[in-house]
Amino acid sequence: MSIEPAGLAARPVPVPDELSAPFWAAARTGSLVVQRCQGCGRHYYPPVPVCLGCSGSDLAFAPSSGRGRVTSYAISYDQHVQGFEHRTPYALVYVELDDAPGVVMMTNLVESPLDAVRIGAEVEVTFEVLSDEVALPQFRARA
Amino acid sequence: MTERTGIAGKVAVVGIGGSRIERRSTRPIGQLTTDAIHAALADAGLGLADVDGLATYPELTHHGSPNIDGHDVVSVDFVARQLAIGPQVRWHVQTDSMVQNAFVEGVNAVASGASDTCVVFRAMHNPVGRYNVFDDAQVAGEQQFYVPYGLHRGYLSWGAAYGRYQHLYGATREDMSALILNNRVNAARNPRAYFRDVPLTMDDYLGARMLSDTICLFDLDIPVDGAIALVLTTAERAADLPGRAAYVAGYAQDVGGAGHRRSSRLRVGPPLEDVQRTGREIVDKLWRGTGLTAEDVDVVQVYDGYSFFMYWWLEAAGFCGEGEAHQFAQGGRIALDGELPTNTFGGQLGEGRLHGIGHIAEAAAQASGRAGARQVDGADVSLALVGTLGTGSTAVAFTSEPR
Repeated sequence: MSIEPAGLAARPVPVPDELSAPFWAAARTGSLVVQRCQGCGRHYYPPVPVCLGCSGSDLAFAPSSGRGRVTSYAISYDQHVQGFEHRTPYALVYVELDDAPGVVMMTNLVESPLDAVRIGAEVEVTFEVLSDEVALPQFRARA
Repeated sequence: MTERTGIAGKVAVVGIGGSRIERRSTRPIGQLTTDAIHAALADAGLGLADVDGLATYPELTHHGSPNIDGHDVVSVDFVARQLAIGPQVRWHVQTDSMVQNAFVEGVNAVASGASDTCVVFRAMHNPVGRYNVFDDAQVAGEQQFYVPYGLHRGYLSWGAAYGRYQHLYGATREDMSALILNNRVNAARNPRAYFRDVPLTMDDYLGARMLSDTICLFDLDIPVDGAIALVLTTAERAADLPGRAAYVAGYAQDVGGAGHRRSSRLRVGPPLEDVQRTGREIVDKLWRGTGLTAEDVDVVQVYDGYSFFMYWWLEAAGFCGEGEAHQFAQGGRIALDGELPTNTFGGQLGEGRLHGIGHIAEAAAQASGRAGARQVDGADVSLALVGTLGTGSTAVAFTSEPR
């Protein structure tokens, strides 16, 4: 895990709510979890209160391998969110997880040169601690 | 199968009016809005006393906007007070998901008799300072899943889908320049357009500051102060008015998201395939509801808050195949004198960020012969395709005669 460099503005920190709290709590321990309907097996990110497939409400969080594939990306040269002053340019990537069909995470690709970002790139999760409560899952190229 | 809806030919746009559109007006947008309403009523040959309905979508989609009525937003309440028409207004609404939904509700109100003559308006404000920066230390709700990744402006989220479009279909920035320049050329014939006197070359476009790997400044509409108003009334009443009318043949909207059904994918910038599927579903509904087809369309206005939505709407409507719009739009095909005149008012990229009402206004102007120097000869079927091809996005078809 990495941590915010000292003295620089922090990026906005997620405020866990009743639905998202388990996701952030797991992330803080270095685990990526994805909500899964216990009735029909569909996966959800962000979490939902009612399954959109079977209308069930028996939804639980299950660990993901955190491995996936980049399906789209954009490299931002502009900064429009606080805390990105020292990160720009940065890579926004859409990641489909190997073990959670239907889920698309919009996230950042880190620890890689920007010109190496590719559609189809295989990636894995890595976490950045933002606060005592929250660590942010991001992705890096898989070796 | 045709499943004609009950509203076809019942409602007409009989007046269109706009304020001056400026980067930053010295006058509050509350005044610009009443300017636009007075102009629209004069265009219709009607007066304030005729108005018994009001509809808008008032939000300024700008982080931290103070929501001061008449300053950065303009509500129906503000308009009713300023024009002192509250006592005569029988029906009003404020919608979500952009102004096309207020327009649709205005159509419904007139078709149902809830309103005889209603005004649909939209005012936009350009705040002082950098546009739409997220500067809070914390982030709650759905935004907690994207803002911490530096994702706040839509050109980045939908821009990722555009990057995938370029990757899959070989679309280039040179391809896009044809649409950007078409808009700017058309803006020169639109007296209201912010960029009416500012020509743009392909070199200007290709050399502009890049905001991301695929998007430059000219792929984004320019924030402005301005307002546009439309006057809607019944087809019967329209027949008694001095000017020609644009008749609403039908509309279709997305709700629930065809693309992200049964997933909780974020609505901010869904994957390309979701956008494409949703767009197709919206326009298919329009064809089923009106009995019209792509071949019937004489002129089209496609939403261009970000440039790439133009590709996706042209494809969704079936003017060309999926992944083909970047080629389809070349060689003057979408020019005013081309096979499919597109964004004849300059689009939002030429007119300014009026958030979708400009497209509806122009589609109505073309069907009613009001488009002046940019009028498409013999325009009968005129289309507006407005929104981000997601929930609330809307296709509206106008015809020059009720049917």
